[in-house]
Amino acid sequence: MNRFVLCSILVACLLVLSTYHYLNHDRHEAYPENEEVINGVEGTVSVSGTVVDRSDEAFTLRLTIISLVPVASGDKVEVLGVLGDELIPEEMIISTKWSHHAIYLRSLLGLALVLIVFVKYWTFDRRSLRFVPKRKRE
Amino acid sequence: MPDWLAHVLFAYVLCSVLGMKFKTFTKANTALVMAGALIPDLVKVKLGFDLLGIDVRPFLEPFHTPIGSLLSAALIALLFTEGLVVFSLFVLGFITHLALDLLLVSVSGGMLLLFPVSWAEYQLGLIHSDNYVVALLLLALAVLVYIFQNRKLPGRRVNRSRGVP
Repeated sequence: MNRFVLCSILVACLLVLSTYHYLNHDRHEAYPENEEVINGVEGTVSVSGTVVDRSDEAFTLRLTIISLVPVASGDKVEVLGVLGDELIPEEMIISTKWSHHAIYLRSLLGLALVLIVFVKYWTFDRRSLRFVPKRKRE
Repeated sequence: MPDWLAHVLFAYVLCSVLGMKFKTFTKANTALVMAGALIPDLVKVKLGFDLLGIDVRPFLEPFHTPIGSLLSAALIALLFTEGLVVFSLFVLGFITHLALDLLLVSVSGGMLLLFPVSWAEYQLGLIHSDNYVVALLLLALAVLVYIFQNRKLPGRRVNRSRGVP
């Protein structure tokens, strides 16, 4: 099959898949998430975000979480909890600001490794407009 | 997600081990599996939009599912000669990615492994996403494998650099 036709079909399939998810994801979430919480739901919710403030009894994402768990400004937090006037957590995952930055740093290393290995063994052929293996001896 | 270093090293170690048995896993093809191991994280394009204050996660999330990764792999494989072999190697790569991500902890939900047939979410909840020990262990393993592969054996010369048999 023509490469252009196949490419068009695959892009169309990806667009349909993404649109289907975009239009239906709200109905299939296990718990209401950030957007719905801001819009005023109550009950068990799952929210996540970056800590912007911390006091003795609570910390603030964009909403205040009543918790004594030690977090610092800039930490990433995922919270599953019951929302009334305030959110009381049942489960929490906390990534400190620096451990979160370290993920990006390690990921950059991973990306660099892939690029180096790929460029070592593959090259782009301008005539066929495709990547071809480099034919060289080790 | 475990970081990309963990994903890439896991793919490398797996291919190196498989390469002892199957000739398909040349170094060039291992590079493709390593690249394929990052395909599901095309969803991370959203980070760029996050900086602009635009939430595109609900639209891009399918890229981090088996079907979305399969379509992405097929699309990228069109840029290669011997597309079918390259596609198979990409598939192996993204399977390693999804397998590692399945180990992560999440307070709610998980991975949409059967999307769009089912919206059921799966997660084993064994490691935290910021856990660096996994990457460290895989790095040690990858170094060992690399040393083992490149050890000098008397009277033996093997060329494993060529891609796509």
